[in-house]
Amino acid sequence: MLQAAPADGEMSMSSMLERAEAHGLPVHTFDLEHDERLGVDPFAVWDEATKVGGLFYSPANRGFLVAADFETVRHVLQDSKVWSNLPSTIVYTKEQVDLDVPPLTMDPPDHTRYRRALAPLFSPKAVAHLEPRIREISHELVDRILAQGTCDFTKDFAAKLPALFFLEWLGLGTEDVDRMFHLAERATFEFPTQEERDDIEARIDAIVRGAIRDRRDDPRNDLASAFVRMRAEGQEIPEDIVVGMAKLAFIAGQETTSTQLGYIMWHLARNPADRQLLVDDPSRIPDAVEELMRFYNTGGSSGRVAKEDGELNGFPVKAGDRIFIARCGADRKLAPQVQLTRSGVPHSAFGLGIHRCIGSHVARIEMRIGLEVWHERIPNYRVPADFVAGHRYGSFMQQLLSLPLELAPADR
Amino acid sequence: MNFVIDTSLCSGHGRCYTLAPEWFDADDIGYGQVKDEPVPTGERARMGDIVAACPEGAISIKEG
Ligand code: HEM
Ligand code: SF4
Repeated sequence: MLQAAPADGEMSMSSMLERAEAHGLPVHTFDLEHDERLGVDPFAVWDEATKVGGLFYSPANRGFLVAADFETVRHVLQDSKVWSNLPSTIVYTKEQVDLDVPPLTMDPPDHTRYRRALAPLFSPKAVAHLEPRIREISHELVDRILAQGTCDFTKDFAAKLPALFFLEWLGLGTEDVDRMFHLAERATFEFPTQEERDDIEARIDAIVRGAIRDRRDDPRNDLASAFVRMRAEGQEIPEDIVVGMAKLAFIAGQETTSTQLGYIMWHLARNPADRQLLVDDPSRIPDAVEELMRFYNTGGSSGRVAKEDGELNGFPVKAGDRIFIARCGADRKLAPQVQLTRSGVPHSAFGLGIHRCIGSHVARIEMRIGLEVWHERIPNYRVPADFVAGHRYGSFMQQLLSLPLELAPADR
Repeated sequence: MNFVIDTSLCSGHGRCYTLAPEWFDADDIGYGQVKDEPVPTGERARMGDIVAACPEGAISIKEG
């Protein structure tokens, strides 16, 4: 059952494996880079992993631990003393590829300092005024879809709303939306070599650095200008860090919300009673979004590396151990069914602990308004009978590739 | 009876102030704060729901 260790990772891998065996930790091959089932039914892969145990060892690629139930996931993500983001690497791939997107790629105290500076830009009060514009864009997209009469939800709505809204807010304009969205997609879904990853990040760096430099002399009412005004404990922030944080916003601001919306709609299009519930009572949309984020958690690649020895569920952790956070399986295990009206079951789709998603408040507004406008204008829709869902998993998350819908718009 | 938020655990999910704006508020970066309003004793079940909804396990109930 166990594969031979590849030569490069032999030392740490054999010792992680030896410790796993010595301590009775389950060993289960969990290979996000190569498992073809991720293209067909990714949720089965997550559910299977969760059944193995709250913590197990996967010998795939360079070898890594997997946190697979909510308690273990929460423990690791809250224990930033042991579990570090330095180096910030994708833990489960064959090649080690490092990322540079602060504040995700920082540990305290730097992380605390810069997250504190960044968070006010994305707080619930700071983003509330964006609602009307998000509603306007949603209506424009629906207009276009109704005019064309057919729709692939992922491309025509889910991918467009966050990109159009976010690029405009950032101050980059939307003439180049396809190229910008494509860059964010590459940063999210490819398994690049270090060279390719650096190339993607350099392209995004150039775009956001240009906007930020421009706003130093010519401030406007946009997010790039807010990045320029940002201070950490009253002090100016080095340009590379400002640009790094804007790079993360560029990627996370477009792709994540788009992907999550695709899965939410996939559920509603297949479950008419749930769809009708939201049509009849749109005030249920916010709780429904949380529940569907839990059940269709986009997976994410959050990984951590131990920076000191510690203990996890009785297992002796050694500095250098890698761990993958299987948030999707962990969240689904909390309740095996979707129930849109509940609010007492938490999820980790926005992460947990000190790196929890800063963009969650704006992402929630986008998803809520997108769903409100859609259901007001197009209350009846379904997937064609012959539709077969296809998915992909990349370095940051999983995605539904397409979602064709048959539409019956509201009479107006 | 009222809520207590463990500020070392709260990371600003905002479930508390979304589910019960009459009892919770957001601070300037979106982290939860307990309002200075005693919670009526009849609200026990709903209080339990809010404690459970906090993904960080940061909310507890203080008797009295
Ligand atoms: C539905 C949409 C979204 C999902 C599912 C999502 C998910 C996540 C997750 C899981 C993390 C934690 C990663 C980890 O612990 O390793 C995270 C962090 C982050 N997200 Fe999001 N995100 C979304 C939308 C956004 C948006 C719109 C922004 C806007 C800028 C954003 C900005 C960030 C930032 C800056 C961090 C890093 C925070 C830190 O390191 O302290 N996200 N996100
Ligand atoms: S739900 Fe929990 S983590 Fe979120 S703001 Fe409230 S107390 Fe903080």
